[in-house]
This record gives sequence, structure tokens and C-alpha cells, in this order.
Amino acid sequence: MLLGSAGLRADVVLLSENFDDISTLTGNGWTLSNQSTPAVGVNPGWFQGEPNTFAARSGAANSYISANYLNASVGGNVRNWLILPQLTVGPNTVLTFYTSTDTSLFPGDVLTVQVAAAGSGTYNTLLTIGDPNSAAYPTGWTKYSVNVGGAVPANVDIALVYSVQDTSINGNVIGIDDLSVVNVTSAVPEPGAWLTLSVMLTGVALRKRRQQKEGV
Amino acid sequence: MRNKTLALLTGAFLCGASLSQAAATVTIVNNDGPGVGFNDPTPALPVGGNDGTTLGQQRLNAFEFAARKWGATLTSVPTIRIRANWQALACNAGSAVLGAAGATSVWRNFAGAPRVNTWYGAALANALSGAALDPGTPEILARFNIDLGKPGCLTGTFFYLGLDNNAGSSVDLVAVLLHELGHGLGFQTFTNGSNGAQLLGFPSVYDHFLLDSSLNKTWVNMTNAERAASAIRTGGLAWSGPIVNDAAINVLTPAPGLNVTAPSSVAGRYFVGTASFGPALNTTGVTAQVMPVVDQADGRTGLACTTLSAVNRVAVAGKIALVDRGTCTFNVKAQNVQAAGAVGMLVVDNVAGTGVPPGLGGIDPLVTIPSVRILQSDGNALKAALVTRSRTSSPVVATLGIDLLLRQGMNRNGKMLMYAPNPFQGGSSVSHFDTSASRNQLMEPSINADLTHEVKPPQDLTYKLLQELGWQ
Ligand SMILES: [Zn+2]
Repeated sequence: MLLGSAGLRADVVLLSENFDDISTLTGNGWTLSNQSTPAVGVNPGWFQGEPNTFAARSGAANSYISANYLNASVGGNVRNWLILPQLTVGPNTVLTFYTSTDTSLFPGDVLTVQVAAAGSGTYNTLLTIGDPNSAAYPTGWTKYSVNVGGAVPANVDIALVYSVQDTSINGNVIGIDDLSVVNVTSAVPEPGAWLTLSVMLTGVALRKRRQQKEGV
Repeated sequence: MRNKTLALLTGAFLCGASLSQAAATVTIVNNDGPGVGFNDPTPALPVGGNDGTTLGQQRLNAFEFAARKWGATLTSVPTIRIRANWQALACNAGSAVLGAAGATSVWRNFAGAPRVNTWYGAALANALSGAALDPGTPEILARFNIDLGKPGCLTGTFFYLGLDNNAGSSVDLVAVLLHELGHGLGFQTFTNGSNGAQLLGFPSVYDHFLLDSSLNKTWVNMTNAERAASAIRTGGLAWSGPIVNDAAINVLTPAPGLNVTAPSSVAGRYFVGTASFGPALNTTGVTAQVMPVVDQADGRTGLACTTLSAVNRVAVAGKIALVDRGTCTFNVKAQNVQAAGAVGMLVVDNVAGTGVPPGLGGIDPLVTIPSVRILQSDGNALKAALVTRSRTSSPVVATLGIDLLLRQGMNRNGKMLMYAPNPFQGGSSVSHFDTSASRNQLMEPSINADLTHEVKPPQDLTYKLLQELGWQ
């Protein structure tokens, strides 16, 4: 639980994952499921980040989760699912994560965020990264946030799905790091309140500094 | 503290000085009848420092020369006695058993035995206990081939009786004597290598150091069936002892190799077979990421027999390219990856193998990058580590060169290889160093022409192995 300053905001962290060791994910309720067609490729699924490809956004160089075009057989289509532990989300539940690929030479990597009512298997796509019709996949760590909640609190499955169409020439590799799901339980304070607070804090700091000077 | 260290050092020097003075007396018990072998009266001219005037006397002189060499090397209070004779031994026109030797008796649980319930040959058992355990019997039995050079027995190739290591195309008798005495002093197992049975149910001291790298067990911890399988696992049977292996690094010739430094799952040293085309490997080596060529539908095979595709070109540019053997010649593969910018080439064998892989044949002045063959099993391990690559970067980083820690005659883990041919060769398998050793070793199963008469580093490892068994 992470409390905001001065009780004006109370964000409840439902899930926080830095991918230091992805072998612990399954035990923590995650589901890793490679559903590539016509067959899974030489690389069976999600893997610990490769420092030679790029370094993690934070922590050890390999502390991110990765998937690549070799998840599907040659010329096949990658559909590699990374499903979070089931969560109860509310109207202001926000999924945040960072993602990157390593070069723009091989377009075709796509990552979607999909949400389904718990256990239903009927997913709705909320976010698409690397959509070939709009923006290319980012080649440096880039932050994405998406509200995964509905009008009323509900149990949901949240999935990040890595996909590539025709791996013979398309797709490359993606990494995901510093993922969190945060329930924002109070409204964000108005700008005026923030301003007052910051002015007060500044005043305290200045007074302290002055006292220190006099002491010398 | 400083004074204490100094005192310890002085002690060490004194200890070293006393060791260098120690010795053993090695004598012959001539077991030949009148007019035969060591008693052969055939007149002989002096040769290579051997001034005996008969064939028999020259044989005795050579024997005593070898006996003095071992006597000056080993420490034993009891005299080491060798009952020796010349007789017919197995031979044909093209090959011959030059000699045979071994312990006359074996001992266990004697006073001073370092290991319990373990067989020691008589000479070592005596040395360890400080007195002859059986004063009435010689410790070693040795026989030499009396027919060598005669028609039908390595026809025309005779023993060289000189003492000056100048045998030319003849067989150096002193080297053969040193070798056979090595067996008699302990360079042998008393375990039956063909069925794995220990002598009367107890291991030989030698067996404590026989390590099978496939089972990762020493012979003392195996079943009979495992020992019998291990005895014929060519390239898989090694010596575990640090005395031999630490010395071997400085005795044996550096071997060309691939040193994989990342990732940890495949890091280590791999033997390579060098190419007859392209530049020779050097000690600096070529260091780069390893990237596979993939041009087959299975997603893991790359023959590289035609101009590389765009994705393969991007993948191998600036990298060591990994390709598969098959369909076209090795130099054509090298040309194709070189044209894509590769800085080296690894060819994964398409048939199983062990030890040092064969080289890559062919002549091609157009190839300017180093190329080598690696074992199929090693290639498969690298391919498994490569599945997490991107299109342009690889998790596998390696240096291709004359790896300073790989040696000809040791396995990739720095263990001396033992002779384990398939099928089993009675009287030869297991109780010799492997024939891959270079420089050549006294205790290989064949006497090589370039042997010296030395039994210690920097030339030879025989004494080191005897030390491992318990000899001083
Ligand atoms: Zn031998």
C-alpha cells in the first residue's frame, strides 16, 4: 500500500512487478501461454530479458520479461499471452508498464492490452502498441497507462498479448518492465490544493536552512 | 605474524631439500634362461652410449638405464625388484606388442595404506609401508618382445639399444622400458575393464581417479555395468586428480577452441576442428556474438549454401555465423557468410561425435574469415541458448582462437583423457593416457618416435600420475 502525500490521495497498489525473476510469475498467479500458429517456434515462450538485446529499465540488466518472433514457427503467427493474476478492479484502476523493442529495422511487433470478465475468456482490447497502421513500436523504454476498470468493481483477467503476423520477415523482440496496477481510490486533488501544499513545504525548507546558517 | 610466516617458509624449503635427495633402488631379477634375452651372447657393436659387447649385455644396460631413471625419480626405502625376461609376444607384420608389465601382487589395508579397502600394486604398497610386504618376491613382472623386427613381427623394425634417445625409425628400447616400468609402478587398474568387475570386490587406487564425464562419477562409485560402459566411452573417460591436471596445463599443447563467455547456461570451452582454408586461428582470437543462419523450415537449421537472405545477412553481419554441415562444401558456406559480413564461422556437425571434432577440408583463397567445425551436441546446446536472440543481437558471446586453457589430450573441463577405445582392448584400455595427448606422452598406448626419456614435467606426466596414487 502506497499512500500519497498529506492524505489528499490514496492509491492502492494491487500489483507491482519488476520481472527480476520471471520463473516466480506462475507461482504468483500469472499465466504464460504461447498460442502461436500453426505451431510454437524454437523459442517456447516468454523469457528473462537479454542484456545483449537491451538493458532493463530498472534493476539488473536482465530484469525484464521478453518475447520474440521465434515464439512461432517459421512464417507463422505469434500469439503469446502474458496474463496477470486475477484482480478486482474499480472505476479508476490503472495498468502502467514500460515496453521497448531494439531496432526499427523489423516492424511487425504488436502488443495489446486485453481485459475479460474473470474466467470468461472473452477479451476486449483496450490498447494496441506497434499498430502497423499508426505508430511504430518504441525503440526505447516507453511508458503506457490504461484504465482497466469498469463502472462497478469486478473481478477481471488482464492480458498483455504479443503478436506478429508472418515471422519469416516480420517482428523481432519486445521487452516489458516495471508493471503495476493501481487502484486510485480518491479523486486527484485540484491544482490549487497542490500549489498551497508545495508553497508550505518550500517555506519549511527555507526556514530550516536559515537556522542552520545561524548555527555555524 | 611475519616471523611465523618466515618460519613456515624455512620449513618448506627444508622439506623440499630433503625430497630432492630421496631416491629408490630399482633392480632387475633376470628371468631369462642361458643364451636367451638378457643373456643373448650375439656380439654387438657399441651404439648410442651403450657399450655392451653382446645383445644381452646391451639389453641389460638399457634396462639399468631405465631403472636408474625411475630410481632417481621415486622415493622408496624397500628396493623395487623387477623380474624381467624376453619372450614371444603378440605381433604381426604391421604391429607388435613391444612389452608388457604389471605388479606381481596387490595389497590392501596394509600398515600405511592411505585408502582403506583399496588395492595397491606391490611396489607402491612397499614404499608406503616402508618395508617389503613380501621380501621373497619381486614387485614387478616385465616381458619384452624377443621377435621384434623378425619376419612377421613388425618386419624390419628393431629395438634401438642406444641410451641417447636417437632411435630414428627403430623402436627406442629405453622408452619402452620406462613405459613398462610405469605400469609396474602403478599406472594400471586391477579392475576388469571389459566387464567392470573389481578384483575380489575391491577397487584399485587408480580407480579413485577415473572419472566418467557422462555419468559424472568416478570408477569407485559405479556399478560393474557402468564401469564397462565407461571403459569404452572414447573421449569421456578422464583422470580426475589435480596433480596430473594442474601439471598437464603446462605439458600439453594448447588446442584451438571456442570460448563461450555468455550466457552462463552454455559458458565454457569447446573443442573445434580447424579449417584447411581461411586464416589460421591465433591466440588473440576473434571475439563476437554468435548468430545462426536459419534457411530451413524447421527454424533451427542453416545450410548457407546460397547467397544469404536479407534477414540472415542482417543477423550475421559483424558476428560469428553458426551454420550447419550439409548439402554444399564448407568453403562455399564460408564464402556466403563472409559476403554477409560475418567475422567467423562455426559449422555444426550433422552427425554425432565426441572429443575433438574433425577439421574442415577444402582450399579457397577467397575465404578470409576463420572457420571451424564444432560437435553436433555442442551446436545444439548453442542453438538452444540462441532462441532468445533478436534479429540483430545474440545472447551468445564467444572467442574463436587458440584457447590458452584447452589442451590436446585433456577434455574441455581440463581433465586428462584416458585411453577408452571401442571395442575394449584388453591390457591396453583404461591403463594408458589417451592417444590425443600432444606433446606425446610416455604412457600412451603406443610408443611415439618423439618421446624423450623424461618421466616428469615439462615433458611428461607419468610421475605426476604416480604421485597422485601415493608415490613420493
Ligand atoms: Zn602400456
